[in-house]
Amino acid sequence: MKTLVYVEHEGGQIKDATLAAVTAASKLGEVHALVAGSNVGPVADAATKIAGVGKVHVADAAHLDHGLAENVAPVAAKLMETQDAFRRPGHDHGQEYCSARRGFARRDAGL
Amino acid sequence: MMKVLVAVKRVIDYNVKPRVKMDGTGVDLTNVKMSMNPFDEIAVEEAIRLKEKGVATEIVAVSIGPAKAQETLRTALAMGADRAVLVQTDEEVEPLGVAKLLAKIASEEQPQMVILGKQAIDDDNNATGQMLAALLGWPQGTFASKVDPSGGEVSVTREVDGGLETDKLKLPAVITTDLRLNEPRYASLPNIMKAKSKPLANKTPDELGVDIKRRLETLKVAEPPKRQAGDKVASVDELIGKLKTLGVVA
Repeated sequence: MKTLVYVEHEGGQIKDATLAAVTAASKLGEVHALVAGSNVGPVADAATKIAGVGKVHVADAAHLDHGLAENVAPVAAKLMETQDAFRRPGHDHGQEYCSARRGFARRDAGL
Repeated sequence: MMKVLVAVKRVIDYNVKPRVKMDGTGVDLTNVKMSMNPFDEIAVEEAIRLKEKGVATEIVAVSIGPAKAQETLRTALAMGADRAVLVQTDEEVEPLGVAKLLAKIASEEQPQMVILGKQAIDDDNNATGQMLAALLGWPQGTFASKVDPSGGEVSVTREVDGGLETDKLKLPAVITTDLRLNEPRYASLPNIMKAKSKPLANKTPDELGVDIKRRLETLKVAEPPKRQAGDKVASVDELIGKLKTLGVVA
């Protein structure tokens, strides 16, 4: 089973919760990571170094800068067409949680 | 002219201590006090405040649930909503089904704003608002602790890890409420009486053409394990000795 993990990052740093999400996802099988934002090259590099991540998808565009659910969700939903499950870090940080949920919603609506 | 749609859910009262059914299939709800989901109460309150400020003109409360959810809608009407819609079903509904039903109602009612609680206290999903926004293609302001509409836009302030984040959304938009947004009012007795004559429409998922089939299966519901009592120690030395035997300190 392929699982897509949304990489939560701020100021060029990956947040710790992402690592926990990757570990959990790796128990299900293959793990792909999604890095979205603007100028996220360094973050994407760091994501490739997380143990367990098989592939990193990078979406680099100005409108993805603040990780707004409205903009990130379609990207995640598109990627979900080739994945089996979606995982995001713990839901303390509201916005990313929303994008995950919206990703689910769109996916379910589309299937 | 701004119409506001508010979604309310009938859930186990937050003061009740839930008991798990003997067979572990769910929470026992027989003869248990049911109330409006507290986050939805905040949503209703916010809509009423928008109306009192002259921003909103009409408030429509919607609930999805059994016939008894009418009581919850009457509570919303007593607080100050203008009319209510009940989508009646005895099935247990999931966020996606609810979001689809609400999307359908929203397309009929054409509100400028839909306000929902951020989550229901019975299943804690925190998903319906976001799914609804996605289905409608509207912007979302989730976990709102401040809502400030002006012109065709609304500013929503939300608590995030590092502090506060304020997003500006174009209307129509979906807003989900957090605890700090407001303190809901109690309905006065005259308003409770008046609420009885406010219009309440009945619909079914079939009429709306929405499939609410469950996609998740509940395997087991269990109570959390009881906390073990701790040990008392007489002196610091004894404490250190115990910690050493447990291997917590070297």
